[in-house]
Amino acid sequence: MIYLDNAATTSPKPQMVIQAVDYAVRRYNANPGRGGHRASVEAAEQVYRTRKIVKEFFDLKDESDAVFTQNCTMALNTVIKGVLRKGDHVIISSMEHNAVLRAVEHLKSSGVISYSVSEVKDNDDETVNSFREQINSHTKMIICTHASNVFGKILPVSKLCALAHSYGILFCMDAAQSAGILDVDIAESGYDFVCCAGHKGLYGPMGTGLLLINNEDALPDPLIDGGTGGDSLNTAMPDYLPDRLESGTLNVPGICGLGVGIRFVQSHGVDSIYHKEMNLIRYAYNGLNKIQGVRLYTGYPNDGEYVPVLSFSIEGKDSERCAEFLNKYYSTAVRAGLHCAPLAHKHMGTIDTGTVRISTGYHNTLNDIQNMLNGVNKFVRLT
Amino acid sequence: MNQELILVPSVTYAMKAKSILDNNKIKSFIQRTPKNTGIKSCGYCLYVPHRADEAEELLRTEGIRVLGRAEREAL
Repeated sequence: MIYLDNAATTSPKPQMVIQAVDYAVRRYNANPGRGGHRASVEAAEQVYRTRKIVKEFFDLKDESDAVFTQNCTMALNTVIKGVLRKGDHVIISSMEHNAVLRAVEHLKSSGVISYSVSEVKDNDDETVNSFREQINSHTKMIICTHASNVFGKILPVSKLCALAHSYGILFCMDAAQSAGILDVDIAESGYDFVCCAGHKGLYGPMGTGLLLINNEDALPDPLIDGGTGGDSLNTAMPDYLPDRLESGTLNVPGICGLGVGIRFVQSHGVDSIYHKEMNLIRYAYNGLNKIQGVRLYTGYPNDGEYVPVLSFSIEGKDSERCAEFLNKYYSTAVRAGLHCAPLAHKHMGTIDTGTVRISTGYHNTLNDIQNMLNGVNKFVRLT
Repeated sequence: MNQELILVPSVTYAMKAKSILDNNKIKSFIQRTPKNTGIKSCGYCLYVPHRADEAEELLRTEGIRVLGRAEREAL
């Protein structure tokens, strides 16, 4: 199988991650923070070890500011539902995933908040202006993806964060497609909240995610209430991190794997991984551009403007059929359809047709891309 | 009275506190908070057999939330 669906989850996972998960299931099979016996403390040590790795990787102020979640969606929902209050207004971008859109729409339809969608433009300053125009006296937060999960476009998040803060507005970044691919330095950027998948560019196992908090004055209310292993007589959730947002048993094997996944990324270097994958995407872009009938939706994928995610469609052909063809005859995994991002497809005018998305990972090669190109060529000619 | 236990709110605080003490060559052990401490709920503490006063001061300086001190009872 040639795997080009790394925007959904990276595959294969590095051998060291697989070994870490396997070892954790065997060796750290006790509940961390729930007992004083050696096994529980050892499991807690492993969780803490990953917290320290996360702190170092993202330049957090404190290990406690790293909250483990099940995925990026859970992290985003925690911020959206835990911070926003009745009457608040939120601005999101026209590239947001349903993890953001459905959460804000839920609050809107419940009569809690209102929200606006700002158009992402080709020019970054125009994008910032598009957000500025939507700000009103009730605007509490800007929520913006670092990079589109469909078209790979990087949004001007630093400028948008500065814009938000200049109006006293919180800034939450969806780093699902960027963590491990682009530099996300929280201390330097000043983002209030960063939500990450653990199983994508950070190479952890599925079922892991991170909520990184950089504003202690805006702690979210918990999405889930429950036991934290301490202060049990108190019927309210703790007011300190990470316990406030981490009730219930943690995914210890997943967290151990995530820590090793981040070590994997550090050992290769974020920049090096990014350049390697972007070279593959450029090869794909050039190849697809030569196939008659293929339509690409973005400009040439220059470094700094895109992450290694690319969408295309084929004139008069169904995107899902193309993905099916590649899977069946070229053993190549790509994702077609709307990619849980209808806003992005509306923005690009592909809401009716969908697109075929390819997304590279560290383990892909030029041969993988060439194989996919051969498959698309064949699909265009035969169907 | 030698109050060798330093009480903290959670296992994460206990881990962080231990890490700080390790870096300062003060030996400590993470354990559950016993009932004789005046803390009614369950939680974690550090058993610091030597230099406990110095350890507490250090932890407070480093921003660790210290809930109190207690004596360690023999098993």
